[in-house]
Amino acid sequence: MWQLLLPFAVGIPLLLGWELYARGLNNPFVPGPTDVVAALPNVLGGELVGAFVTTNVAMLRGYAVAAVLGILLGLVMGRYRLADAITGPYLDLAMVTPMIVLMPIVLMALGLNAMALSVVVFLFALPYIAVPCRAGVRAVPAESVDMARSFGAGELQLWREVLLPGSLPAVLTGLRLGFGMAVTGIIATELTLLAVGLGRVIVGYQSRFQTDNTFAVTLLIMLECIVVMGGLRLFELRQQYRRLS
Amino acid sequence: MTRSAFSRADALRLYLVEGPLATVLAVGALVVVWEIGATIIDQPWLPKFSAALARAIELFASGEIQPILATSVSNLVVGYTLSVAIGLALGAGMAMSSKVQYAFRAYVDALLFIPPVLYAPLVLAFLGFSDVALIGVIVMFSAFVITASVQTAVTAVDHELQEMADAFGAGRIQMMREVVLPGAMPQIFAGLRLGMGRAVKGMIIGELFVTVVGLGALERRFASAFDAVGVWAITMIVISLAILLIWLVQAVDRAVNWWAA
Amino acid sequence: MTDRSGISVREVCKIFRRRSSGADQADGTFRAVDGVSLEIGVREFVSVIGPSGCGKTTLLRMIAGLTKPDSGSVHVDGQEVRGPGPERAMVFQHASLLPWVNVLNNIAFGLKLRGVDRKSRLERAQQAVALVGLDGFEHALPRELSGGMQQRVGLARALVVDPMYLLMDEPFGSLDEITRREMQAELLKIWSKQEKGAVFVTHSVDEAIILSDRIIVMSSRPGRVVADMRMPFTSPRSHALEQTREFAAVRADVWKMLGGQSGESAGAGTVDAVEPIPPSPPVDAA
Repeated sequence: MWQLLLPFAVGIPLLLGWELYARGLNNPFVPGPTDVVAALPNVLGGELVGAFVTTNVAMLRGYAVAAVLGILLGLVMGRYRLADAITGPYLDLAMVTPMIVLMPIVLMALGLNAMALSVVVFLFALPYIAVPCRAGVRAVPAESVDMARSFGAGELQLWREVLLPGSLPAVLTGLRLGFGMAVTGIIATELTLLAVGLGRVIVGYQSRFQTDNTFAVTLLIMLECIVVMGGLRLFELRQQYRRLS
Repeated sequence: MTRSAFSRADALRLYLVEGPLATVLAVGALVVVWEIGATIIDQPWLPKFSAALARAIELFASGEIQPILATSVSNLVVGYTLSVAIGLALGAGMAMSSKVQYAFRAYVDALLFIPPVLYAPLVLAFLGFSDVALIGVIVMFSAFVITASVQTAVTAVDHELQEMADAFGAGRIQMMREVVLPGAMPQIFAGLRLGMGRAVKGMIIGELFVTVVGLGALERRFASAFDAVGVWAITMIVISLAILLIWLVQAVDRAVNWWAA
Repeated sequence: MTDRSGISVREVCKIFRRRSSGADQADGTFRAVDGVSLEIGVREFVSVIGPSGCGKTTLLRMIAGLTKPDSGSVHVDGQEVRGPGPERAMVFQHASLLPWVNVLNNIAFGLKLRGVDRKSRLERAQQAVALVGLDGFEHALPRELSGGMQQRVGLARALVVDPMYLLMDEPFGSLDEITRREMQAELLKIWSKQEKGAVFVTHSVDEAIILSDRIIVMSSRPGRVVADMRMPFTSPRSHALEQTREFAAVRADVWKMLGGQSGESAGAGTVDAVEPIPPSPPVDAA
């Protein structure tokens, strides 16, 4: 049980080191942990809530579309060779491309508005949702498929009874990775090209050299990520556990 | 005496030539569609492929892009190497010692959950607007993916093989060298491949924030000037760079792990 | 050779913890091996058979030194077993060959671990290749070999380190019947030229009878020795033996010992080779 204390053996020295470094430097650009925590009340104002909503709405719009299309695409590619042959290489290409370089193009094409943001999020998230879904369908044991077919299951039944339940954990993985990429997309764009929502808040603090506030807001965004992705991960683990035992 | 029907040369040929061939064909098709589409849809944000390509070539010919590429790539190489070192050390440590695993697991998991883009402003604040900061961002992007892969790879080495080696009297070092390391290599390389992709992303994102150096800065310059052709040219260069580097990792992978399916 | 005294298993027990069903005791444990004692002679080929879960593999692993008994001890040639050792070599059910290494180097693996220089170990491995009939495949990778061929590599690997005792854990269990019988014939042929002891775990009665000098029958839950039966056949043997009436009688008796555990009434015993516990004294082949 003492092993549960081990993470603190790593974390506490790190926090202390950070605090000492910040104190020693005494530079407003480098806040220590205490500064960041102290900044939280400053940051938690009406402005932040509105920004949170703006950013999340734009992100979720893009993410939702990416999720629906990505899952469909991934499942189809996993099951049907032809679909995979046609779209596979592009998906693999998309995964190694830093989507970030296409941000300016999207904004140029669609204008500097929330719609463009959602499209960027869509582009970021789609490959990372589709690829695990494809893998998930492929990972369903061939024996299960053969067995169902031998009992006369048609394609639709096959999907409903075998393929979908079998690939659920992988779908959840894709949703989780896609969420991470969605956040990446929206934050990167809001910080560099189109200052709205949370990006604008952060840029605002940065331009006023209030780094402690910057850190505080970033911390809050990180918390949102941990909660959402952690939740998805837990759900995914539960599904996997049910399948193995 | 017969040689194995499947040799190292076979593996290299199979995965390095025939694999990319498929990608090249797909990209070729895309380029054709792009060229035709751009001609039909006459929009400023979609220049023709030929125009973007011409601009990319011009950037090289004028010598404008070489120093920029040099900066970006050298940061990338340093950052990636650092990430590999961290990943190997931490991942192997976590796999082999439960104490190390308990100590670091929460952090590695959390770091994998949090989109690395959130670290960029933080790292830059800490390390200042310098090459070191850019390297730091690259490390934040790729080190922990490599760590997780290395840990999984070492843990997953066939236990029956380890037991067999134990039965034949292998000591700890022999076990590592003869069984665990070769057995873990394929999956370690999968992590190295992933890490390279992430490192390139980290490089670009870091540079977009710093906006003074590297390809990211150049892209931003073009973007603010609404220079669509320039942006597409940079895009092509960055994608080519990413593909080339990952292909390099795969080449090493195939040379080392030629025996793997 | 003068200090060889055989394998001596003394009152060993091994207790495992089970999670849900399968626990026999109130504390959620079951006795995989319960007070087993056994003597195996210097040149004896002894098979251990029994139903699943009877502890035969656990027993073998304790002799191999891969598992420690919870009580009791195992002695090999007078020395207590504290781990694997050079006088014992194991053949595994799933060949456990290193996938990144060719046949010759797989066979030489045990020698490499013991520090034998490259030239010598490859020479010895080459001889072993001939012994198990894999000529021509020295440079093949394991994945290019059939199951039977992989098992031959595993056998060669164990033989080439020249152990005093060969420990085999259902080595032919994952093979199809035709290949299995080929391997049994190979093993009989190889065995006639060796002067080693062997402990052979199997779940095939016929296989045990044809290969062994003695058969140990174990019960499951708890794992105990139920019978120790000396085989009345002479060496060398061949599969032709299976057609004899003597063989059939022995087979019937072995099955009786196996079946007797579930409380079924036994048929009439016919052969004097059946001996109940305590175990018979070890036999040195003439």
